[in-house]
Amino acid sequence: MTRSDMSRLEIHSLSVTLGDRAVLSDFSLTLDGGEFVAVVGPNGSGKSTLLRTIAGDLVPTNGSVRIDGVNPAAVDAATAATIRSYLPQTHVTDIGFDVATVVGFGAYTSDGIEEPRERVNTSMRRVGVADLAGRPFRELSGGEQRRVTIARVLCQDAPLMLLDEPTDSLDLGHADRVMSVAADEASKGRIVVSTSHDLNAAGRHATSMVLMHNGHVIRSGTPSEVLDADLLSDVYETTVTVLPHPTTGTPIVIR
Amino acid sequence: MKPGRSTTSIVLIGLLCVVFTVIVSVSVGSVSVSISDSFRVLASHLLPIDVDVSPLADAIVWNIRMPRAIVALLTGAVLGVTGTVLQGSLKNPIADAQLVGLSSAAAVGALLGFWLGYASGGPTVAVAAGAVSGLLGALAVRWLAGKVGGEPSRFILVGIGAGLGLGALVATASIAIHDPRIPDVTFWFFGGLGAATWGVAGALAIAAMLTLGGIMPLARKLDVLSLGHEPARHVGVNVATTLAVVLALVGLGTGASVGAAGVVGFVGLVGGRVASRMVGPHHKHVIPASAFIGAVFVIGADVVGRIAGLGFEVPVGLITTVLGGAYLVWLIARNKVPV
Repeated sequence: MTRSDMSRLEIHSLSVTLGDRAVLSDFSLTLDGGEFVAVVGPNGSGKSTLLRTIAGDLVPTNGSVRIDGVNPAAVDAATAATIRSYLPQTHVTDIGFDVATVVGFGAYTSDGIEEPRERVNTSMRRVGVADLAGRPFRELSGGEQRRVTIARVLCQDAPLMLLDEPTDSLDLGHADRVMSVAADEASKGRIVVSTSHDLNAAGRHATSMVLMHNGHVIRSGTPSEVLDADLLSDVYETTVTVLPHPTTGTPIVIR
Repeated sequence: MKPGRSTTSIVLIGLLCVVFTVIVSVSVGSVSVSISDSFRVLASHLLPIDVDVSPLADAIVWNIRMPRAIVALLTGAVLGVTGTVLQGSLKNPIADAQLVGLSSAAAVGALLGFWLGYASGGPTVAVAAGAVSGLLGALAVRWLAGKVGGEPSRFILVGIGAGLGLGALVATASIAIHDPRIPDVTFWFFGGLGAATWGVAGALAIAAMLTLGGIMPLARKLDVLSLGHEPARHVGVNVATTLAVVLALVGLGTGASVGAAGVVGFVGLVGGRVASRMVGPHHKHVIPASAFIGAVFVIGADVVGRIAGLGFEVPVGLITTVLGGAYLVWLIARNKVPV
């Protein structure tokens, strides 16, 4: 049995209050290895706060997060790094190291235990940055830096991957590739939780979706269940139409 | 790995440069001693051979100029390294011990050391008191910065505020107390190597070894910290602990150097920036390189100060500040420092 087979993320009535604002209210979700959930919703709906709390960066006001039974906010950094990887919404741009070294930082907890070079190469190839391996990170474009950062997260090899807006600043092709990689990671037994503003990419690749608004879950279920024209028009405050994709049949949201 | 970028080659080249600068340093001054005579004096003390040396050359080179060169060397090495590790750990390209207030914090202790401890152990007490005071200052800066969020910029803001305040306090005290054992106000702003003895050099050497020995094993963690504090923690680095250890070691080393040579400015900035431009971003390379660059910079500044021919000895920190300030302006003008 591999480690991923027994992965389980349990989020139980999670609430986070920042200042006097309830950013997240009574959020519950249980995920097993193999699931790729896309968390969607308007700006300020609590998506990033949810990810930060799952990562252990924020201590919830109420409720609990358990990754394979472990509270990520209560363990040391090295232990947390072996159970979850995390792609933040933004990254530091001024890094003097070359791309391969930056990706290798993802394998920090494997320092001296195993040779992570192969993992570095595989991770770079999967998001299409292998040809940038020797380039200094700070000289790359925003989209290239984003993909290198995603490769670093892949290289961490944790059973739970948290991705905050992974397709942000990526072109159409690379955005699709990154979402495919995320889906692929889930199909190998990992749990992937990703926020996204790209409802179509999310609907196409995720196994399930959660729609949030003002810190509350409005609806969760399969992409077809969540991508409902009336519901989305209401939550996003703009009129949208949902059509089936002409070849794949997955729901497509258009304005 | 490219030639010239291994830690061993950096250490070898660095040692050669430092030895050369030390020999120049002990050969210049108001009484001129030829390079060959300096060599003979050094050989007679450092090698197990009999060398004929004149007592005058021996007294000048070995008892006066050599401890002075060693104090300059160690001050430069410690400050250079502290600049590198603060620039790395605080994600600020121009951070150094002065910017986070540790030079001023150390000056408080060093001043007390000169004033109250002189009778028991001479200027060596100031080195120890400076080290303790720098260490306490580091803990205080960390605590204050933690109170307001703990982001890297907080350390700098807290440090600038506390540093300017404490610096003014020390300057005032050094004027008000008016005790011949306490160095005058120049020492607390621009340093001074005039009082360097073998005892001071020895005490500073102990602090320097503790600082450099403690920092070198953190090289890999400091590399990962280039990702930023949060991402570094996400991949498994205990950022809070690493930062606390770095600050404590920087406080200790800076503090000892302030007790020995006063506040010598801009060495951390110059050491850290020049080293990373020369040997790349890996801390296992930049740390030793910045030690050597800092050492050569301070010894060189002292030599320049002594031979400038202005009729007085220009304080070492005045030279480093003039050169370091110009270097900073150049870096910013050439857009080498991201802002």
